[in-house]
Order: sequence, then structure tokens, then C-alpha cells
Amino acid sequence: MTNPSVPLIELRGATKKYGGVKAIDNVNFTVYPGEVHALCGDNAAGKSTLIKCLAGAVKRDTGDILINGKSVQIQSPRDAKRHGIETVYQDLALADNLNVAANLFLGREVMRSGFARIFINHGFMEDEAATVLKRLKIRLPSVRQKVHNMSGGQRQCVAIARAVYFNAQLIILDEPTAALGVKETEMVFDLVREMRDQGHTVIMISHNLNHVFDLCDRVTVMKTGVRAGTLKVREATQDDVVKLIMAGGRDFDQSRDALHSAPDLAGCA
Amino acid sequence: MTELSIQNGDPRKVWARLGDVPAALYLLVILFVGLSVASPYFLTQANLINIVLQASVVLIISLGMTLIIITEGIDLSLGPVLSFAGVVFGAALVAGWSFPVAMIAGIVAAMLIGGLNGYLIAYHDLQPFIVTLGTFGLAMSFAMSISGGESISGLPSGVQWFNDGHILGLPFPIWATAALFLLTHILLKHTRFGRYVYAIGGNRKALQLAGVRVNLWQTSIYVYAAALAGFASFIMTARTNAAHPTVGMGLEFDAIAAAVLGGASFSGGKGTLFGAAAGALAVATLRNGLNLMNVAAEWQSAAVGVVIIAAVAGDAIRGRT
Repeated sequence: MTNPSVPLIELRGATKKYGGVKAIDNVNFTVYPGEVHALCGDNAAGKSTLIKCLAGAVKRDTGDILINGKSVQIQSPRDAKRHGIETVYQDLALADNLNVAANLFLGREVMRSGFARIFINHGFMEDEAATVLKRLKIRLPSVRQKVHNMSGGQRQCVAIARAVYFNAQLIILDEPTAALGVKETEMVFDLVREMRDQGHTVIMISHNLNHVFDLCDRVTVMKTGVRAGTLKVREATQDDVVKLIMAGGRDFDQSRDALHSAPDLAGCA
Repeated sequence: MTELSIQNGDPRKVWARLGDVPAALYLLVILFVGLSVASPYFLTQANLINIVLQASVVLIISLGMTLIIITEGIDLSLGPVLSFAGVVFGAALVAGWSFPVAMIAGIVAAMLIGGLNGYLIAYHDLQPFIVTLGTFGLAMSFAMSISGGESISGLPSGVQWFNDGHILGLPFPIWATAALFLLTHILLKHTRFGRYVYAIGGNRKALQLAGVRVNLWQTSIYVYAAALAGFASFIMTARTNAAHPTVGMGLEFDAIAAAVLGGASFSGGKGTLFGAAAGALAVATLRNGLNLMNVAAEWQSAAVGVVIIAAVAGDAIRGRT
């Protein structure tokens, strides 16, 4: 059972240099369980590097990662997955020539049992894929359809469903709607909304403040490699966020206490 | 929520389905119809078995080649690898080693080259074309040096069974080809190995980010393809009852041709074993037909070349619509 007042994940003092350039510089970043946390900022603000540190796709130079208050080692994508962090990258997520079920289970194929355990259990994976898609209200013609033939929104939903299926503690979405049209974008956001309602914790890079204010609980703004600030969406205006993006800020963090008022906790005290 | 379903009646869809049928299959049908009419000898049992026998070695190599092409790679070394494995097999037999041990020695020799290919391509991100061009020379030199540049003859008479032996009325190479086809098919469709063959060709980076040891799997694909070539070398050795250091010359190109006729694409992600088998059979049928039609031997290669270009051009045109 996770305690909603302890951060699900915390990045402390993270720095990553490429050559002489600091992509991120001494960044602190905190996400609480059950929140949808937006990550905003201009190009080269360090958003991608930040999430890649959490996803294990980039080896940070300094800094610690804590999950549920405990320090953990994340040096590779395998490490991150082991700790329940799933990342959906903009365009690297799916193998086009495989079908929906195969993509959902890519790298985690379910095998048959006993002597047949060297063989892939196609039927099981197809059934499970159909189940998780249904649970997330994603409608696709067939889990046997190759991803190649699907729309951008459908593909992105499959990539996200993959993260959800494996009971990720934290799901990171790297600009999930960057290349999508209006209708397709709506489809992906319906899914993120559904995930929020089902209690998943999500970090989402986004450039669209309407989406951020529509979907997210808090927003962290990055500016030239440092954190400008973290705001509670309910207590901020879009102007506040725009100012942070343009002018930067003094690395503040509006904590989360007022975010989800928790009456049951009040009774405990 | 939006749902974008594909309409079944869409004529473009039907046309695309036709495009999925590899050129090799069209070619086979055309050749069969044409040659049945043109030559009374073509459709005899003896001739058909002869075609499959002729196709067997190329077909076995094309199985591995197809896997590699699906991963967006290529293996030019498979011909010399076959020569090398055959020479090791022959030398081991002449040295008095038992059959199973000599076979293992030949296949291991092949797998070493395959392992080197895979290691350089997967772990060091070198281009498959260049790497296998290099190991092409390496395998050829190994074969030459072990054999002293001569055919290794005086093999035990049992070797010929790999070519002449019959099981239930069919020659051994046909059984071996069928068995290796089935094995590779099962690997490709029902194991992680096969899943990752397609995934490497489809999106290598995604597979890596999914936490898969991509380099290791990719290397194993080259090792497997080399092992198949090693096995094919036994049939090749049995045909002439001698191990010749250049016997594999050009086989890699026939295997590439078979794979491409069968629908494999150099841009990766695409290709089937059925297609490759049909491709190998189509080339063998074409050569057989040219023989039956008394076309001079020196023009047969040209005919095969023209057919390959025409087939691939046809695919490209269908792919564009």
C-alpha cells in the first residue's frame, strides 16, 4: 500500500552533461502516487533528458532516485522496468511489422508451460491484449492486426496499453500526441483520462497547455536545464506556466497536500 | 472514442493483398504451366525430384539468409562458410574421426564464422555488407589452407548417403531440406528467437528499450544461418564425394535471390520462409526448364538474372500502387 504523502518517485540533484553542455543541472523532481504530472518547457529545456534518467535510457552523472522513499539504482531500461517504471517514447515504441498482441508483449513474451515452454503462447497473449484494451476502452479491429496498418492514435494507445498492462507504478509519456491530428489526440487523451481515473501515476511531456490544464494535477516547467518550478494546476493559470517557460523561475515546488484532500488521513492524526 | 475500421470492400486493399503474394509464387506457377506444355518430360516424377534436389542446398541457405534479411542485414559469407564447413568435415573424416564428430566439427566451424559476423554487426554496429564481405575472404582462406587448395577426396563411402540415401522412396536431401524448413519455421513463428528476428527488422531500438538483449539475439541469428550452411555442406560434399574448398562459390547470391524473389525486403522487417523456399524452387525450375529447352548453359545465368530483376521490379510497382 502506497502512502499518498510519500513521493512515488523522487529525483534529487540530477545532472547530465553531454560534452561540456549540461542538459540538466542539479534537478529535483517529485511525483506523488496517483497524480498526472505534466512536464513543460521549450526545446532543449531538458525535459527529455529528465525522463530518460528516470527511464534508465540515459546514465546521469550525479543524482539519486528514490522510489517510495527508498534509494534505487537505475542505470538501464531493464533496471527501470524492474522498479515498475514504463516509458512510452514518441516514435520508438512499436515494431510496425508485428501485430498488436506481439507489440504489447514485446520483450516479455508469455511462453507455454512444461516441455513446450520454448514456444510462445500466442492465444494467451492475444486474450490478455484484448482484455487490457477493453479495460482501457481502446477500440481496435483486432489484436492480430499489424501495427503498421493502424492510425497514429491507435498506435500510441497500444504503446500506452503496454505500459499499463505490466502494472507499472509510473508511466512516462514522451509527447504522446506530438504527431497526431485533433481526433487522434482526443483518442489518446481519453486514454490518459481513463488511466487517471483508474489510479495510475503518469508523467507526461506536453507542449499544449490546454491539455495540461485539462488533464494534469501538477506541472513542472524546465528552463535551460534547470527546474523553473512545479505548480499545482488548480491553483495556477496558464499565464503562470507561460511565464515560467519564457522567463524561468527559482526552482520552487508547490507540494501536493491540497491536491487530493485525504479525509481518511485526517482521522489518523 | 474514435474507431478507424478498414473497409473490407476497398479495392486497394485487395490489390495490396495480391501484392503480398511473393513474385516467386507467380514465377513458379508460370514456369510449371509453361514447361508442362512445352516439354513432355517436365512433369515426370524423376524430373520433379531432380528439381527439388537441385534446389535443396540453396533452399537451406536461403532459410538463414531470409532471417538475416528480415533483420535488415545480409550475409555474403554463407557461400565460403559452406566451403569451409565442408572442408573441415572432409578433413575430419579423412583424419579418421567418426561421422557425428566430423559433422559437429563442420557445423562448429561454420558457427564460429557466423558468431564473428554477428558479434561485429550487433555489438559493434558495423555494416552487415562490409563485415560479411570481410568474413567471406576469411572463410575462403580457412577452407583453402585446410585443404591445401585441393579437393579432399578418399572420404569414407558412407558420405554419399547424404546425397543418394533414400528414406521412404525420397532422397535424403529432400528430407533434410523439409526438416530444416520446418525447424526454422517453428523457430520463426513460435519462439522468442523468431519474434525478435522480426522485431529487430521492424524496430530494433524499441526492442532494446523493451529491455531485450538485442545484441545477443542478433548474433544468434547469424550463428544459426551459418549452422544451416554448415549442414548444407554435407549434402554438397556428398554430391561429388569430395570436399572442395570453393564448392560454395556464389551460393550466397542464389540464396539472396531466392529470399528476395520470395518477398524479403532489404529495408528489413519483411520476408517469409515459404517465399524463400518458393524462390529457391523457382530458380531451380527455371534452370531445369532452360536445360529441357536446350538453352545453352552460358545463357542460363543471364536468364536467372533477368527474372530476378523483373520480379523485384514487379514487386516495386505493385508496392507503389
